[in-house]
Amino acid sequence: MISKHAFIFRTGMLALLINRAAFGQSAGAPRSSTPVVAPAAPTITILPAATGALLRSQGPNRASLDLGRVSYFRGTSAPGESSRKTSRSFVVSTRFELRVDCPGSAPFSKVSVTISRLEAAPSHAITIDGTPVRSEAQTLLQSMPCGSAGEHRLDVEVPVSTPEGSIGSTVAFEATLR
Amino acid sequence: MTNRYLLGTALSAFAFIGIANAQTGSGTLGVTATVAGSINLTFVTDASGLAVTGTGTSTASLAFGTVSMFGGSVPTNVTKTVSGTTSFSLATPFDVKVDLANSASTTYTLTATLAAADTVNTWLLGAVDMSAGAPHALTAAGVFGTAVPYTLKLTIPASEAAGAISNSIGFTAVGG
Repeated sequence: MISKHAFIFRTGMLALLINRAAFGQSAGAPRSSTPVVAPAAPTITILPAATGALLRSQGPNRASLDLGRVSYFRGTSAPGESSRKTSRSFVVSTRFELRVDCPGSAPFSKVSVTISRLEAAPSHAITIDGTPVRSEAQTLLQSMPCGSAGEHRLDVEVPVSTPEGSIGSTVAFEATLR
Repeated sequence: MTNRYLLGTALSAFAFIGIANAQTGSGTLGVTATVAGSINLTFVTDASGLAVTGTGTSTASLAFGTVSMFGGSVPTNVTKTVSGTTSFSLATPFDVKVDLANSASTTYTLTATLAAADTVNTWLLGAVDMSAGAPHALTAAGVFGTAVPYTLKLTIPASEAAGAISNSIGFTAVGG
């Protein structure tokens, strides 16, 4: 008899867990029948800033920025760019916008954002908001609300010893749901 | 045994939730630029010369002020030479510095041209007479980053009417 009660009790608990309508919610309410969806990976969109250089979007999560012709003594003449000289290098600066969306995530979700660069031995340095972009990931933002966008400053420092010609880098951004 | 099973299940669930929340998205920004080699020429006041107005820039001037063949005062670091009763000259050194960035050039050539030919006064840069207004090579093996002194000597004939004398010399440095 005791065993039979225990069996009924366990069965009843299982029923409660399976059927959420048993918690007093209407069985016909859509909320009770919606499956729990795991949040998808955050999406990163890189956009031109209002005061920044021309930036081309190359599809989801990809963009490119051509700073054009730059030189130590003449700096840059492209709109949205500025330059300054140091004794042994020059720095070209511009701004861009970074947007992060988190489809399927809870309201008020946040992400942390890291930056890194993909080439191993670059001839020039890159910083974003003063944070050096290295091959190892560096934290750019500890906490950024999902669905928000922020403007960032990109600095490219070219030493005077860098041979003339094209330079190129790829900066990788990673947004992780917190 | 049942408790251990439940605890294990709960821990596994928490671990799963943690993994599920560590969703990561990525994006890339390609950054390109074309670095152009550049060369810069500046005029600098020489230690023994008249103060260059605009020293350290590429647009500078030498102002001798008001001078006369006989008597009067001579500016500091200007040498006045009177040649009998025919003419007098004013001379002062100034420095030219050529810098280079992002280029494999090792030397530069420097040419100078008097902007307006002058048939009355004589304009010498070192030993080179610039008066005709034609380009003259000053060096074919200039050393970058070094201030090189050149002496400007202006000779004014006594027959010339009093008044202002003004001209300019254009310098062109080309990396070699």
